[in-house]
Amino acid sequence: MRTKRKILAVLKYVAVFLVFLCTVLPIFWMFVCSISKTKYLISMDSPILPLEITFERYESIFAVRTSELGVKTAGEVFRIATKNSLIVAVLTTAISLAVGTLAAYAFARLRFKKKDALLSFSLFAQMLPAIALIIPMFFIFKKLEMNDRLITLVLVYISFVLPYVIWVLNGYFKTIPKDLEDAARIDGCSRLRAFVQVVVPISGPGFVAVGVLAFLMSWDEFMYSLLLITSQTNKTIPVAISEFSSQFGVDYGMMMTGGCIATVIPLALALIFQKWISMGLTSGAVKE
Amino acid sequence: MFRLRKKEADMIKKIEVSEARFAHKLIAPSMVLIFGLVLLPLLYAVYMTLFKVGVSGPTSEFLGLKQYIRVVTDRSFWSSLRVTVYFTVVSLALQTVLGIAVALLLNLEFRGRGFMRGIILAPWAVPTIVNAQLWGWIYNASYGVLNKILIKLGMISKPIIWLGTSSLAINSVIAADTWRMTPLYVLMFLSGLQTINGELYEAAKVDGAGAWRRFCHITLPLLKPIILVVLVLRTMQALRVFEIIYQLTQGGPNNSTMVVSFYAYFKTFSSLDFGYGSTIGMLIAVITIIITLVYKKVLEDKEV
Repeated sequence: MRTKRKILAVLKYVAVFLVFLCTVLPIFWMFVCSISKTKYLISMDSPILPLEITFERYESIFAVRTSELGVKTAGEVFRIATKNSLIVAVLTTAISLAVGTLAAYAFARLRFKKKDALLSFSLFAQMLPAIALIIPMFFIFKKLEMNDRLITLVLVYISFVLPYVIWVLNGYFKTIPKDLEDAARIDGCSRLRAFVQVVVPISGPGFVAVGVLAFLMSWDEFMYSLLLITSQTNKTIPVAISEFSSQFGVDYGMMMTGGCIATVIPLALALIFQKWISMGLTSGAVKE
Repeated sequence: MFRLRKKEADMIKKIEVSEARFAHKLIAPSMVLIFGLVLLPLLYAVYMTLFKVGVSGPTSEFLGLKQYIRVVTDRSFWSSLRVTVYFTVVSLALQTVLGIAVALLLNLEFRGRGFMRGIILAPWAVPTIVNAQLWGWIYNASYGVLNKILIKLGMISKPIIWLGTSSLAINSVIAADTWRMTPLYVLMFLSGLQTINGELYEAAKVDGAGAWRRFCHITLPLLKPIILVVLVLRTMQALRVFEIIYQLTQGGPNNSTMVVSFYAYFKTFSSLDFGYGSTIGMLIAVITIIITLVYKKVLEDKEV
């Protein structure tokens, strides 16, 4: 009995270790390739881990060197794309949270006509694949002469981030006991004040959860950005990375470097806000 | 008596009206944005499917249902739907089983559990397009590390062309997707497991139920609602798969990875057949409506 238990305990740790390896090895490999000398990357006979490493690629991206002849260097392309992605993701998140919080509260607490239909439509909007909207959007924004602008991307991202925010916060507000607001209202607060002064301050975790996920969704988006943005100076990071190899020749080391840089922000967010993320993923789905 | 009732009813009505008015104010900004950005384009898409569409937009030539007939009689469309269904079913099955297994493991007591529960999220944080590039490089036939390892171990003698062989390509793509998406399942199943009362297991143990039977008769039935939720949500996500195909195979070889999203994209922006692309888009929207309704039903059943 005792030996059986010991064996089971050992097996448990072996399994955990295997899961750990499967989880981190590909990311580790991406980093290794980004600092490996190129000759180790394109040889089948060399050892798997490179014998010499170099941080040249990171330097070339972060060193502020403006190009001559108007041609953008890889570093510039990256810095611009990162900045664009940050702008779009932050704006999308901020607007969706501000507007969505109000709607979510109405859906969670108030009675009004067509509530169920509107909530269902918002769920549908969140689930709708980009391919169903991109073609009409392409023509509509072209007519409005809004193609190739960052603000257009923000609007388009709101089309799926805002419904997500409403859906999840609706579930979150429902978990907050109604008594708190009722008490405030008896004390003479208006509905809006009861919401702003009682519900909002204790909903921090909900806002963090949705906020982080909204940011990650916008940061990750690819198809709209690929098709609506044409000029180099407005591209977001997923598109810049995708076009990287065709623009600068197939340079795997550089591709992996770009990948590492694009992963740093979402990875940091995921690890810092791990607990909240799991709530943001489940509270819309797992009601109460 | 009667009068009082009437007064009361009037008051309740007043409160309801003011409540509804307040609600309308709160949802107005959101609804304007969602209707403007989703419903309007959808209606425009309907218009595009009924008229001939040129490079600069729909023309006045009415086609009726011709485009729809063209799509449903197109064998390539059905083939892309088949590939999409294959991708969805295999990746969902694989990811659900792996997700439950890893969630059960991480629900056990062991040293470093908190750390593992955090780090498990890492693959999911890698942006989709970066994940595609990373695996494209791992699978690379000439220099990829996967072939390198297999050759060094003596398991194969010459490199396997993972993404260039019809029978292998879609499965390689599924493996890459599975690496990134499994953490999501783990997270959701873990939260489901944590709600299960530990006393149930103790009672079953006393009754002499083995680990496997406890899993089948306690864990699985209690996880069933969340499994359903995850399945519906992920079906939708799998149906929209695009980036990884765009980056890794562009639908090839021999259309073996041509999923429906990529096919619509290809038809629209490579063959410039906008009407055709928007018609496929419409059909996808209809599928989405059905799945949304199923999802709502699943959630409501769960609450009872």
